[in-house]
Amino acid sequence: MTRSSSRTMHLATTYAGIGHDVAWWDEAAGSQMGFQDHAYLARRAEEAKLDFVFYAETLSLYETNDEVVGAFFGGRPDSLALLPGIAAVTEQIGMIATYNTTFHNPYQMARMVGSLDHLSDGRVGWNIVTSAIPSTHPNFTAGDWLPREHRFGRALEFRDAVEGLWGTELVDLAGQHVRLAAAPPLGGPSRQGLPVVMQAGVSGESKDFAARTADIAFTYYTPGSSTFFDDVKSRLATYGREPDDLKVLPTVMVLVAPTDAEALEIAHAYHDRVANPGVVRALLERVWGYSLADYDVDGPLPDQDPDWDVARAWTSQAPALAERDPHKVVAGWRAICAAENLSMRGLVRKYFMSKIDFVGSYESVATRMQDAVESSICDGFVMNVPVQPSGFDPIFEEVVPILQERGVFRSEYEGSTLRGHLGVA
Amino acid sequence: MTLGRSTDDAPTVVGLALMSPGIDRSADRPDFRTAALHLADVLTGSSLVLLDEPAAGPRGELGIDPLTVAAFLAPLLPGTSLVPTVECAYWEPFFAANLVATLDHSSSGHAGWSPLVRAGADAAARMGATQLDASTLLDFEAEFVDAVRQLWDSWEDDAVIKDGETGLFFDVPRLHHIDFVGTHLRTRGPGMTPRPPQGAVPTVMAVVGAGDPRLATALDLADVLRLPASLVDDAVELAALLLAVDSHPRADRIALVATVVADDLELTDEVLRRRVADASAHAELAAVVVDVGARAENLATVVASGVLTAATADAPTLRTLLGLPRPINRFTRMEVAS
Repeated sequence: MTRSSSRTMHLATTYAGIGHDVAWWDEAAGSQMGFQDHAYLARRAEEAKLDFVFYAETLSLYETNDEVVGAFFGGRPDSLALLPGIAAVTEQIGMIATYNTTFHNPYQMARMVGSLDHLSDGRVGWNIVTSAIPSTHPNFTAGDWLPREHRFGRALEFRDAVEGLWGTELVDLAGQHVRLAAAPPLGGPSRQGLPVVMQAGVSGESKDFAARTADIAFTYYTPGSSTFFDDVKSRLATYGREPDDLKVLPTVMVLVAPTDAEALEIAHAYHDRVANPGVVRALLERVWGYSLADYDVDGPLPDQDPDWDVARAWTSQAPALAERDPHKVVAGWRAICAAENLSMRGLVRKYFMSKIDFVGSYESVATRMQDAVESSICDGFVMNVPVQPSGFDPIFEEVVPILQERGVFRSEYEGSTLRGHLGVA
Repeated sequence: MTLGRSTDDAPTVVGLALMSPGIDRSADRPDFRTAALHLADVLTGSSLVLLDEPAAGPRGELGIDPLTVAAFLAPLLPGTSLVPTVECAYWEPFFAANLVATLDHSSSGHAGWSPLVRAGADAAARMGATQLDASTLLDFEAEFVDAVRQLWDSWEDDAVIKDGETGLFFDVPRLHHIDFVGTHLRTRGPGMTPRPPQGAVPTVMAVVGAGDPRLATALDLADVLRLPASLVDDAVELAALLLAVDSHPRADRIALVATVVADDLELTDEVLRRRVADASAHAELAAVVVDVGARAENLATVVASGVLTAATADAPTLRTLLGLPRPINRFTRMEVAS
């Protein structure tokens, strides 16, 4: 308990709104739409002195064969109508939400996020995302308007536009992907200057974008590997920035209990429950592209090949996937199933479920988090939990105090803006 | 007369309208957060508040976004119905539908929205769009409001089943592609946000009289018509409008709300009471809103006068407050019909 460190960490929460890994069936699970559950989480996170609460954005429910996937959790409040309420009932905690730069309008987004930044007195950030699941584009008049190779170009111009609109000068841009002329809607910046920029992605283009423009690189957790951290931080010098100007914050699933054994038991039961037949079929149907209703999920993978166009669309955008050739990906799964004698459910259970990155006792999880930061794998964590929002309670009540006692996480806020919390002034 | 709240002796609801804070941040003005928290204090206990667009700054700065202000106020004002203006020109209905539905969820059914489509070159330039003429913009607005309302129906009320046995979260047939294809707008759905608690969040549209080119859209799609004070004072014009409303098939689904001007430099209690009493005497009105415009300093006078209807403990939804029925989901209706 006397370990100390010169490296302090940043901590945040995320509240999933879509997908298969939310334990909606749990009696303790809160309501996705009830404001009180979101307010509860933000207040508790603020008491624990966390940096921010994070909300992702999805602009479509998951669909396969033009039908919504019934086995996936879905539906969420829109962050721009949720976070202002959170801002009203909190004083210090930051709030970051995703905005897809391909589909949002820069002026409308700048006005709303700028309004939120002012109403929260400088506690806002935005997470730049450029791609979306395939069922997204039919929800918009513009449709599938922007080819993949232009999405980062649009994102850069979008960022220039909104940062101009958060300033004091008239904005007049005639870019390749963004053109607009407008007065800054709020007349000037909030107390933190510009909202914090977070950027997600693991491609070289993403890392370069983050190094050039972001305050937070949002990524996946890779135990024991500082490759991403070293890579993205080394790119900063190119843009005249210091290593501390960009924080690397991976998203992690956390499950804690009084002992390691209890935590593992809960985790095992959770994974058994998540890998129900509906979810197993739905996850594989997203790759196969046609109904697998006739297959026994406890039997082998379908002999029949996927619809390769659907499979390619999936492999091209699946997060944290090293191989993008759908034939190789599926061949790899077949090999794994043969070698390990896995059923469809077994494959999904082992390779498709969001793994729980930190599972264990309060003490052991605190130690592993501390180790990850000390060995320069990351600067902190955006934490997710299987049961929302009550799964955060033991983290706030048990894990955070250990980190505070060890001096690796703040015991009091030093400033009141999000930039202040993150040290990215 | 079958207009909302028109027949019985239920008292006319008296609400408030004001402009959201503008960009005047000169030294003696508080910051936006302080101003909004002060607003929450002043408005506590009010039943109905319309949040209009701020007065634009000298260079065309639009000021704070009313929907963001409404979402900020909602948890501080439980039981108060909040109706922000939402600028829709050249925007996507998919975003507006989710945002307004979220406000209705957060406020437990106390949201309304007032769509606005601004004409002019500036509005198009802000959004990076090719400018549409005023008449085409009215078509755009009609499509926008129609698409938003359809997206709210894209989730039936019981679409979420959370069946632990089968592992199904959704009853998939109760989620719908709306496949909206207009001249200006397209959206497929379903929306991201479940159907709002009020079924459809009341759509408030301002119309100036029977000759208003916006009236056709308002009668087809709005739940509330907001009338200017000048119309209520003009018996001939008012009668023409009432005739137009009453002869429309949706007449019993439309509430009329009249504006009472209260942005005078020196507003006295006596003048205010007389104006509210005069407007409230029109039995056709579901509500009157005392409009202080940008003159926020008049709020204290209005609140102190006691003319405003207080939010009640059982806090009915905005629909209940205005005597509007909860709409049946169009997809459920189709099912029943077949």
